[in-house]
Amino acid sequence: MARVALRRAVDLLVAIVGVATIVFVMLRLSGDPIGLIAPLDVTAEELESLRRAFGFDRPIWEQYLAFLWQVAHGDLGQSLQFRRSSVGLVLETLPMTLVLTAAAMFLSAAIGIPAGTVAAFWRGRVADRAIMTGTLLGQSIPYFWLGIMLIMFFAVRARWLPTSGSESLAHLVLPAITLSATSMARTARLVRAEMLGVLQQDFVRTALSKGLSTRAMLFRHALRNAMLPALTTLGLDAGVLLGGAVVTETIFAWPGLGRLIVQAILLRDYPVVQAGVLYLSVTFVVANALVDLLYAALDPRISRG
Amino acid sequence: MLRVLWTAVVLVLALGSLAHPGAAQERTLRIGVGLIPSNPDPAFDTQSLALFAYSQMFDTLVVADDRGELRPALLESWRVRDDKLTWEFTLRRGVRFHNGEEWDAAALKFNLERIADPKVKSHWRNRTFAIARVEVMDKHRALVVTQRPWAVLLKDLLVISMIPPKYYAQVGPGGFSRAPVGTGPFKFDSYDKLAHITFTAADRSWRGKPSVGKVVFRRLPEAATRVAALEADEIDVAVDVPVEDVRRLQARGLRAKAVDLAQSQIFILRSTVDSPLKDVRVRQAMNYAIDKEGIVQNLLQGYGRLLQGQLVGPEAFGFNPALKPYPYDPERARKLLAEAGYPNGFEIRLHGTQGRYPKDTEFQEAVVAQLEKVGIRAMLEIVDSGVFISQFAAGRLGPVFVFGQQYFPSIDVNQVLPMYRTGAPQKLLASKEFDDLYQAQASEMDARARLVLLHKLGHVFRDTAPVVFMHQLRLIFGSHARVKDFEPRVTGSADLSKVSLAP
Repeated sequence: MARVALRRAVDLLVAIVGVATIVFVMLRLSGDPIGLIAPLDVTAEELESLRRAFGFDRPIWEQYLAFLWQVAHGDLGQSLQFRRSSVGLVLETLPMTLVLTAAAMFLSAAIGIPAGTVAAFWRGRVADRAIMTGTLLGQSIPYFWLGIMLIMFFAVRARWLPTSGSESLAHLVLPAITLSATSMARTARLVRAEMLGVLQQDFVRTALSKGLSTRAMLFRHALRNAMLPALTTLGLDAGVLLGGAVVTETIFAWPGLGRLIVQAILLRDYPVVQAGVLYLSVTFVVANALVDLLYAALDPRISRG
Repeated sequence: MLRVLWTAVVLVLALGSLAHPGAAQERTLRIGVGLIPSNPDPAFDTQSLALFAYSQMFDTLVVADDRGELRPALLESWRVRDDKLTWEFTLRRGVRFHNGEEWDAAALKFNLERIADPKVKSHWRNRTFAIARVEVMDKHRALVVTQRPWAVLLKDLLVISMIPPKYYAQVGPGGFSRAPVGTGPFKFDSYDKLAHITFTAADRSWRGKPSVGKVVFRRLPEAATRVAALEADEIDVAVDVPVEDVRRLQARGLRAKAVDLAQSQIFILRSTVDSPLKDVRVRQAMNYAIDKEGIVQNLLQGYGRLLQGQLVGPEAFGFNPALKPYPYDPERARKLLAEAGYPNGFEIRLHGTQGRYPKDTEFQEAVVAQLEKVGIRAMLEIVDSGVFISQFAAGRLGPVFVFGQQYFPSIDVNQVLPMYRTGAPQKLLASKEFDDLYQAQASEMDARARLVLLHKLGHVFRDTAPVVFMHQLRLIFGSHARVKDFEPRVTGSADLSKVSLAP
């Protein structure tokens, strides 16, 4: 267990340096990033003084080392639009994104896993077909369209839920459903496929012939064996969900990190873009590391290997 | 266990929906906007929606009306001395900031110097470049001396909101951003950068007491959500409603009001880089080749107004009524191209945007198709909004690219001209005739003489054709019928102290 944790920690470090490097390179791909910072009606002299102020006139390796130094100190400069530490802004909005992502992951697991199990057990029957059709829809509907449709039906027509905002738990429902659709569908499909394999194994027949109830057999014994791959996808889905959060947060005016990054991109607030991308990536790596640890806890074979 | 959990979830949801602001108090005006100021300090956000919010709690020295005429605000009057450099400002008396501090000449000096200070990094700093120094004459009079004769000084200063110096010194820049103070009819209440900015009616204001007790600007970046929030009665006014939604809103008893924004939609034709655009006949041909009328009628469903062969509409100072749009005449376009040595047309890169301007993708594609008909093969490349602006500033877009130019709040053509100067970093045009006329009008202190120069400049600009003149955008405001006296301006904002809510 400790060894897995250590290995994950090293991975995390490598990932951070990797992402930092990518962010650094991307910003300079289109040439001098000063164009991102300067106001629209900048004069030539002002442009030069800005360039010096931000250090873009120094050699590239010097800029790179300075940037890594900044990253190591958690200081990525002041947001140009908010006039505050960009890392501070990111840390302020990150919890809202985590709440949304966690709610979506919870929905994916809480609905996707039982749905997949049910579909596998009644393979080929009406329940299976209905669930499979649902997952097909869930995987192919764009976040944007689904979000707008949910708003139209549940907020504008029925008025059961608010259209947007984040003032109460009720505000979380529609964005969480929107965000979870894809990952819920994927989880259900995967669990179904795994379960189909597990259900053909001997111990299932033994359990049933011993007089165990179907429910107990399905959810206590079979599902356990089908869970590991499902967990892995859920962990990978954390990245997909964080990405989807950018769109979902925009539709539902959810004040999270995704929304912050989009606004920062539009307003050329590059310190915030840098900090945001870096922290999102770290969150993703951490989520995957956590899943791996969970994996190890569930399946003792892994930590030994 | 599971059942308990579910019951709890259902209960919380029920409570949550009871608490949601659908049934807020009558006296609160809720406005849905695409964005709110990124900083409550008015020195740091230049976007029109930010100015909309700022103008509720702050005042400027003067304001421009919807014809581009200056009206007194925190200044009572002004005059320029014979040296053409010294401006004598007389301040409005008896004005106090929301914290009780008095508006005086020292406050004026402090504000102009704050914006000009490079350390403050105000986004409006370039609007103070003409100023050499500010002097306090007495409590209610100040002198502003410019580097050279600068006729548009007050129009430059239209964007600078006045804040109280003593309070600012006391709380510091950070403290001021957390609790800003102004002189407007509303005072600051609360702010959440990704959610809302809220004001309450000020106890006193020279602009009169507002009818509503509270104003909330809710940040709803997605237009479809904004409209949905209006329909679900979560907001009273939605700013920028898509054309497609207008009929449905009206059918549901909601109002939709449109104004022609002081913003011109154009295609810039950079003649400073090596391309067929160097030939003026080619640039004129492109103006003839495009059916602007058809685009406004069919794509924008009439929600746009044709530009009259110039960069501003009839409301702006500098509009020349003698100018007419280039007519749609593909035959003439082909002839001009042939004269310029391109009988078979040519290939050229056109940078477009997606979602930056209303219906931009559609009208860019229409333009590409029309250019194709006269032989110009425009290679449309869509650029992401952030990259677009940075490439624009660095002079790397084009040679042809779409652009929207705002000329508010000054409603003066001068505001959009500087980027066409030869020395400008955007490198759009190099014309000595233009440069000289630009400089002459900017330093012409007599308004009538300045207008004559601007009219002349308008002719030069139309014939030089550094742009394809398209249309002015129309901005649509959706609102509930109970919202009274909401009068949107060509700036895209409105004075909310005049608005009332019928029960």
